[in-house]
Amino acid sequence: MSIPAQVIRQRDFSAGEINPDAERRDDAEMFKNGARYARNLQSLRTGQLERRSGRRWLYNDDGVRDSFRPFGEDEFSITFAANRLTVRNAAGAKVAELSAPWTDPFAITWDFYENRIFVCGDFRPQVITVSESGTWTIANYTFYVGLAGKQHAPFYRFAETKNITMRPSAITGSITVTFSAPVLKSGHVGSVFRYAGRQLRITGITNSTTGSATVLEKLNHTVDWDLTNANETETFSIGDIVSTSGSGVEAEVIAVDVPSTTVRGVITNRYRRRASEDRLVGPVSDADTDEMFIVSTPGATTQWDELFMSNVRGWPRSVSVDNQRVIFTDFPQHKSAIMWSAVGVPEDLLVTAEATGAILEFVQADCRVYHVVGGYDEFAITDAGVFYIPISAETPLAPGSVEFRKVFTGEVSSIRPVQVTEGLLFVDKSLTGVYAVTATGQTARPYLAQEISEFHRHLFSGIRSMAATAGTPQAATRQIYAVNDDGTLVIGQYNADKSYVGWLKWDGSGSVKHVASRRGAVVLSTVYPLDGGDIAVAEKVDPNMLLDCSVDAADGPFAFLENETVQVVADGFYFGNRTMNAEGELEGFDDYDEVMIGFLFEWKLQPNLGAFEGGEAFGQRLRRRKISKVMIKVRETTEFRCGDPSSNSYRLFAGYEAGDDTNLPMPIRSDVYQYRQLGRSYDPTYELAQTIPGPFRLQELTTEITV
Amino acid sequence: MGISAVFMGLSSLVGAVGAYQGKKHEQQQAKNAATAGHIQADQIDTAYREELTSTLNNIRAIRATTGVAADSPTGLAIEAANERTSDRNRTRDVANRKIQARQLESDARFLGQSANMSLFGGVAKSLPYFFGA
Repeated sequence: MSIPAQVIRQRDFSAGEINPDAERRDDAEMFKNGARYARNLQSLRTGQLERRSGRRWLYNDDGVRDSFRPFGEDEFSITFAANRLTVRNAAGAKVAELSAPWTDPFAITWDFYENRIFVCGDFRPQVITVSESGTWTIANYTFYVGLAGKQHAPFYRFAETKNITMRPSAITGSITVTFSAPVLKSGHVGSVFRYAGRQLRITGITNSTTGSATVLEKLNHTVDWDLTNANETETFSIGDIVSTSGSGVEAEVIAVDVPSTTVRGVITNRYRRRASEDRLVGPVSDADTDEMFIVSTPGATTQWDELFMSNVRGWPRSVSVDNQRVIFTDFPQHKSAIMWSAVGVPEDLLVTAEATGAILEFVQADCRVYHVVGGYDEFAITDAGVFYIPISAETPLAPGSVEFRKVFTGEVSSIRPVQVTEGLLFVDKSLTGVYAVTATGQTARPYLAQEISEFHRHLFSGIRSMAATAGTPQAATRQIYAVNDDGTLVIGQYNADKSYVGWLKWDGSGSVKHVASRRGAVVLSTVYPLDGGDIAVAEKVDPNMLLDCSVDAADGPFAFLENETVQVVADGFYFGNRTMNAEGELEGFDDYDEVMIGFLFEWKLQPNLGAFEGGEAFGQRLRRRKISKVMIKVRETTEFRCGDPSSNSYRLFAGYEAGDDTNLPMPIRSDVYQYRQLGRSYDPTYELAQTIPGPFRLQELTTEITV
Repeated sequence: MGISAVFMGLSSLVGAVGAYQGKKHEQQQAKNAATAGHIQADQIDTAYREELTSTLNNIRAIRATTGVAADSPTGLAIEAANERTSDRNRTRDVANRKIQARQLESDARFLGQSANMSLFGGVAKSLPYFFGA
């Protein structure tokens, strides 16, 4: 009994390249819409495949980059390279170059706030500012300073200093501060401390317990209360926080003298003269007072704190902007801390309970907060999972409203996540798994975190950076870009109707180091290994380019291409390899109007050939099979080849045909081509591949397999 | 001196004693109210402190369920703001009550003086009836 032929029709290629481990998962929808192998292809929103876009050279420079639009439509390309920041205008001309403290541009984060760029890393945050007149400056991040000199900075009492007291020599002017145990380090010079809530700046360090300081806010008084009754006096203890019933003065008790019925305290709120009938009330005590006197020498109190972020304690390593607040995270001194600036004032970090005030919260979990990303709500990306921070008109982001609700438990990488319309994309610690946090629409569980690379993990290796695009006139699809540590790119195509992302790998002669995307444009930081040495360039993904690192020969000469071998496309003809002359010019193409120089990349495709579950043709799985016929439906395509990759025998399709004028570029064709393959195999396959760089768009593959 | 004059004198004297006792009663009432006012002021003070403790504990309990650490600077700022508000209200209400108590004490003193004066005035007014003008 003969076994019927199996006919496989595929016109949806949206699932990308499927993991080889899943080669027999022909029961999965993703398998049916996927490819066995695909390089340098991209799927369309309608599910078809096309040759990927080429890339247009922008300028030579190393480092990483982003684009910035501080005023109107003027857009600047910002390059963060080792120890510098370079600004270029839309034409690629350098408009500013600033010295910067970072040495590894791949280890920094940045975000934009109006006309400023905030940059964080293993250094004090930097603020790059551009004025409307076009002057660029870089400066250390500094706290907002009030008219009276008060620093709007966050203060914190670190655990290791809990029982240490601080004693100033006076409450105004230049003073000496003395700690009861080592606190001061050389880096504290210039730093601000608070004595009972009032600020002083350290101006010098004598030793670890003594230093000089300047009072920024008149310090609080130390006072003695004369109590009426000795028995009541002895109910107070050193360290008690006490307050008076009438005048409302609050203080920390620093001495109790029972025989003389005196309690001494350092005021922690504000001085107010004693009210008649004031009683002094403590946690377990309550006494009538007769008098209150100011003590001339300030007392030693544990009620002090210091800057939460400083040269001694460390600076945040990540920054983002959302809800008109600048958000700092990844503090070496407190790994679970998140600092939001005051609304509209990025330099104001004075923590208050006011709705627009700065916020400093710690996630109650053993985690290191890498990043906070905005959206409808905010998300905290930590090494131990992802938390979302609910924000709404009813509960805006304000002190006291911050909540951390976990949506993902698992180890997460420090790769900066990407905010997309659907939610958030982040990478797990293996650097091979991409996850999406998406809104569910449910109140009880508003977000869901799911892996979107389950069938594609083999494409990823050591993800270094990610970006996502919105639809553009040239590529009206939303794509995710992930850069691997081997210099390849993996492109994810959203398929909202199928609830999965199809991933495809791009490679080429250049090694991609970083990807950035703003307003639909994707800019890559790529290194090309040339004969004259590696050259780092910025290049933009451009659907009109057939080559990578494409330059228009008319814009030459190109010093970096001197004596280099390049590929050339001129007026629609592909000329293959050509060598640039010693001046970096391409010779011999004067007769052509448009001559593009660049580096070739090649697309390839091996389809998945699935099987039926049951049915008469199911018996084929027990036989050697052959691909008896393939019908290839293409649209607006130039020449390509199809054949057996194992025998390296191919047939050409869509090239010049009889009657074509070969003096004209190869025609663009929309047609159906038939291919037959010889030989049998338990695992037959075939490959479509590029012959010359040109458009290719695959609409349908119909494969007939027989035994 | 006729019998009617004696009765007139006695009547005036009895009236003065009655007024004295009435004022003394009012004085005692004011004293009692002042004492109660002082006690109430202390009670208000205690109630505010207990309420503040309860409020702060509630804040800490709510924050504990929201995944934020208890000792964060924002948590402390929120507690400090609640303490400031509570202290302001507490000192205001305690002061008001103490002012009222002190007013009552003042009233009591005045009523005591007034009682003495009314007794003295009644006695003085009755003397002509007994001894002639």
